[in-house]
Amino acid sequence: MNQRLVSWTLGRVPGAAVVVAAIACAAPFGLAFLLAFGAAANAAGAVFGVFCFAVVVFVLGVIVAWVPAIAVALALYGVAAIEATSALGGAAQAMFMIATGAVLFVSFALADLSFSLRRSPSVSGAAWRVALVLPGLIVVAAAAVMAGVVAVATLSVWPAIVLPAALLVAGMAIKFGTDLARKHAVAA
Amino acid sequence: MTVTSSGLQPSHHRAVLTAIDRQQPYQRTRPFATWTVLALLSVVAAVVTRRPDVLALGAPFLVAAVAGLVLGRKPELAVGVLLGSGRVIEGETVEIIVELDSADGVPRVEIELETNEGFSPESATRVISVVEPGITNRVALQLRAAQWGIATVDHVRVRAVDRMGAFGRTLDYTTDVAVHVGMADERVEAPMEADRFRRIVGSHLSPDRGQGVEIADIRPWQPGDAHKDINWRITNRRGEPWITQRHPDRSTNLVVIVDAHEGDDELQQSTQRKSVAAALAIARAHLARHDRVGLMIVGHTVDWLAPQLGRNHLFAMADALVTVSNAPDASLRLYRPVAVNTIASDTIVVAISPLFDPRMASLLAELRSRGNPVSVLVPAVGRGTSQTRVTRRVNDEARRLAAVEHLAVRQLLIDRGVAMMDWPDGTSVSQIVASLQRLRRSMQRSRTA
Repeated sequence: MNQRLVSWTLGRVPGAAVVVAAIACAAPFGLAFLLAFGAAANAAGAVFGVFCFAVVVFVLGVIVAWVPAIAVALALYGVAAIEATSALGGAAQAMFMIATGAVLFVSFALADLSFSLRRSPSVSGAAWRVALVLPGLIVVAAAAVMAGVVAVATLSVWPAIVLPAALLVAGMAIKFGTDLARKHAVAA
Repeated sequence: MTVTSSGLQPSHHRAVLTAIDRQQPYQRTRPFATWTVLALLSVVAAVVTRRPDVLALGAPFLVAAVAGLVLGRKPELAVGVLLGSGRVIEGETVEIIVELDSADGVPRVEIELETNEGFSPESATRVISVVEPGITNRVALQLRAAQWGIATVDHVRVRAVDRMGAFGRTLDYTTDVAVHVGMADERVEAPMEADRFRRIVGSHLSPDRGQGVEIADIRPWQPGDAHKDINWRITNRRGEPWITQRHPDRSTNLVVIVDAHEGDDELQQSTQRKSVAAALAIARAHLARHDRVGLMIVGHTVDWLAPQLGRNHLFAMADALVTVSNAPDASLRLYRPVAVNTIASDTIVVAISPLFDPRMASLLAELRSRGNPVSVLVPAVGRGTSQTRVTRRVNDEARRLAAVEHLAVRQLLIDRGVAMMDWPDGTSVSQIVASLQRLRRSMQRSRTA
């Protein structure tokens, strides 16, 4: 029932593709504004100029539905973000970078979703759920991974060697485990 | 949008899908390539700038790419299409159900229908949905039969994307979905009046004397006259037996000839529409009066339905007339149609033609020369254009020559006694048929006078 309600409600939004594309464009622009004037210690004007250029390329990429242009825009965002946070240090710098990466990924996912929503398709509730939840899960997973990386980097020498190895072993075990389970499932 | 098994009607029938070329296998999607590139760029940037925190920029992209590789499935997907109704009237809605089946489930399926101009979407023609594992997902799309003719669903395109959006494939099918879209009824009150009749009882008033309802005359009784014909009032008044003579009610034969000239141009489509509407209306009116009605469609090929009676015959004619809308562009007319020999000389012939082709005029002239009463409705082609079917490249001289030829053809037919009526835009079928009736009556009166 909830899915139907969500589908019905979103279906009433005029031009879902336009709305999603607008959000995809607005999020990085807000981030650029924050980084350029909030975090940048020097050369705010130049950084903001690169951000603006990236915004223009991103918007054009969304309008013409050309993924490579969006990728270029995201790379420009990244360069400007690196420059904007260069004066910061420590945890604040890492936090800004994690937030920037998350926003860029979500923007990219929304831009890609807006391509699918062109020509006013009818979208089922389950499809909305998959399209909106998945980027969130990936962002959370990426933040967790980066938190792990930061934790490892701040450890003393011995744990810094052991912990990555342990993570690697755990990862390999998960991989082999899933492969084995898949084989059994196919055989069954 | 989604229908259950119980929503299927017995009338739904399965369309034949033909895959276009080889169905492409699962391929990496563009987002996946972008994730990978941006993740690698962030690694390079981290190394170059010697700042590990830069890795965080590409971390979500890296996670998405890795998850796509590890968790991505390539599920099989079976597609079917069901059609609600094969025959509708203009403006009605047709339901197309796309049936999706997958043992593993598909997290995102994009369905798109491509139709010809006969359909206009009542709802979206693109649907994004999900196929649950082992459960048949039926997606219903509503299409409105926008214009008379044959409305087709040319392509069904289904794009399946895996769970992470890293791999996808497109299934492209052509379909045999073709819906006959008929015109709404247009009634004609007065059918064509016949000159000669069949010896079968019908609804036409014959000028002959015989058994009927309409009183024709009275005369003194003669040996052999039936007693039931005695007019007792006149007999009492005159003192001798008089009888009433009546007109017999007879049926007749009628053949409608439709000129299915090329219809790719919008104006010609409008002409075809008028031709078909008139043909159907005239046929319906005469069949209702127990006349036998035949149909000849002259165009790329010749379709001939011999004169018959009944409602089923009307449906057969409606089906044949629907094909006029899909007449091929190239003109490969087959004159003279052999079926012309089978048209009896007492058959009323009504042709609907712009008379652009002299061979059509020859056909009508031949029928007239055999004694058939021939009437022609000439639909107007376009507003403010010269009534010639010439290409744009032809210069004005050629246009004038074609116009002169057209006039000569018309005059030839009029001289032979063909009743010809121009059909201007904005005139209904019933009005133009009534005008044609009046013209034929006046021509008959002038012949007898």
